[in-house]
Amino acid sequence: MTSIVKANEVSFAAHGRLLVDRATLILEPCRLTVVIGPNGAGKSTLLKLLTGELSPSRGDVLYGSQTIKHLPPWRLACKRVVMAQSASLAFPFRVHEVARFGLTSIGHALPGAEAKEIVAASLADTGTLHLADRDFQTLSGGEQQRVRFARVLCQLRAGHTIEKAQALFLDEPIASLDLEHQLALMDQARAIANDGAAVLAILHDLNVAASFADNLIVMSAGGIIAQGPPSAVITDDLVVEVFRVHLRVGTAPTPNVPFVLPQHHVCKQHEARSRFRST
Amino acid sequence: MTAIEADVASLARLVSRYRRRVALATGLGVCLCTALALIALGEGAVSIPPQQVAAILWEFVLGWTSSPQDRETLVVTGIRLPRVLLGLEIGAALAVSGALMQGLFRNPLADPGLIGVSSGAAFAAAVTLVLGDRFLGDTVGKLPFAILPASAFCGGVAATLVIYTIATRQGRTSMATMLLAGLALGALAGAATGLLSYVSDDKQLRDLTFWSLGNLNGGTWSKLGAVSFITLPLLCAAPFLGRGLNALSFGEAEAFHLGFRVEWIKAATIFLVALAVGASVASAGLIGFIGIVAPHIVRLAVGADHRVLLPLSALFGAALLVGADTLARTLLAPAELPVGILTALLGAPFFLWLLLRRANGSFVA
Repeated sequence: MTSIVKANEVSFAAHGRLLVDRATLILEPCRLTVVIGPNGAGKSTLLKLLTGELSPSRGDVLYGSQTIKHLPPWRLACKRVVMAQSASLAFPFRVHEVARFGLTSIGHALPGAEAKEIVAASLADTGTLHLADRDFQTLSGGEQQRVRFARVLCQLRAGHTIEKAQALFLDEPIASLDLEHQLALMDQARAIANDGAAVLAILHDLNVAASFADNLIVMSAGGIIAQGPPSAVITDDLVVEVFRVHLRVGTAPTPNVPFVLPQHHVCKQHEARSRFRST
Repeated sequence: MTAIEADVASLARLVSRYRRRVALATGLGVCLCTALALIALGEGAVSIPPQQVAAILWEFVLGWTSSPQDRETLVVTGIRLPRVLLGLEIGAALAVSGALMQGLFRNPLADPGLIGVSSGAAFAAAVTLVLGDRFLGDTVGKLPFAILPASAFCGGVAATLVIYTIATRQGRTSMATMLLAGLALGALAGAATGLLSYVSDDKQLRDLTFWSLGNLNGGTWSKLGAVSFITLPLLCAAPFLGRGLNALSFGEAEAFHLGFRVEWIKAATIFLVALAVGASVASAGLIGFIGIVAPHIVRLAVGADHRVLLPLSALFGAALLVGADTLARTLLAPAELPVGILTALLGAPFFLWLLLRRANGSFVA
């Protein structure tokens, strides 16, 4: 299968610290990749390297056969769509205007009827059409996140008219959503992958990660320490080592999907031991 | 009707309602500009009724020169018309620059002076007025109207260049650094201007004070020509930055994700503002608050979309400045108030009102 995005031993250092250490990964069409790892593991930095927001200090990122730095921004915007972790809006834009941002660069030449159809469909798909005339700044955090996802869908659809091999990057897309909308958004990400795009999402919920990922990437201290199908990657040892919590990996009703329930923080024992030693 | 058709229809209703609103605001702006300009042409030491003003303008535009030019015609075409046109143009330039700066700094309270144009121009003007005779001898005496604006313009643009260079590292311009560098350079230029006014004689001090208060009374056809040469192309270019500034309102990363060359947008915006504000300050001194008030009124009326905001700000800025200038000319007639005092008197309370509304938690922007 041909890859859409390929990272070759990419490293990124800032202020003398190595934030991403020789990460190698391939994003293929129709596959949903999930990146997990503790805070500060370098997940968001890796995503910024893959999307071209940061240039790697070593290694390179390829879109198809082209190096990312040789792609002009508008071309890149057709090939990859990004939903950043959080974003605050400076001015009182309406919700439908925010969704339409997805069309401002690559889609501004689309005929009006088609543009309207894309915006309406994206708002409807994220369940935000009834908010279309509201001021974005007055929405709740979860509603804002869904509107930003509608913006992402607009850009994907506009980009699709130009470029078929697309990648979607989501940085903690479900962080402030309620359970229903978490699953709805992940279902949509799944559907986008099924339509042929490569999807990469950073998640903190191991169970959501395990049940949606085709490929699970575990990061710790800047490096990728495990990669593969969730059932092979999520094990008791790995969870204890990476997340520093004790838990037991079980199996959810769906076969071959690991299921975890956090039990207690590993550091408590750890600290107790070190405190004991120091006295 | 399928579900998606219904969705599209409901969105189309929103869009057409918005378009009607924009059309209404544009019509209002045009009417306001025309009415205020006609009043400005008629009011003053010689009061001329609007019908006669319109008739004189009509003749002027068609190029008829009624053989013996009467006093009214001379007053309208020779004195008031260039001043009114200059006011329209500078008002538009300041308002568009304000809207551009607010979009760029992602802050609805940003001012065109943030990037050092005004303080740099004020410093250059002080140098010219106070030290001009020593360096240039008689030349200043002969060409005061050309040298003062020219040096103020160069000072303003140079200050922006310095700040832009300080804030740009490895091809990336940090807006936060730019803001702070602008503050520092503004303080430095303010101190130097203060020093110059301290060593100046009475006449120089008076000239300097009068210049820095801002006024349009030097409006002649030649000055208008020089200002138009710089500001008209910029006013026409500004709306093309609208899409980019819209994308920037979620931050620079987001604009890049959407497919814009963020550094180009920033550089273009900064130099557009530097040139436009430089030209305005050079020809009319320091006129504050137009750049904050006009874009806010427009945002309240039609929302934040920069593609609409930029041209409409120009319209309302032009109306505001011509209105303020007419008041400044007629309030204490035959004496004339500097228009900068008037815009500050009206604009500062408006600004405070905005701050208070924001403090209430309602983000009017």
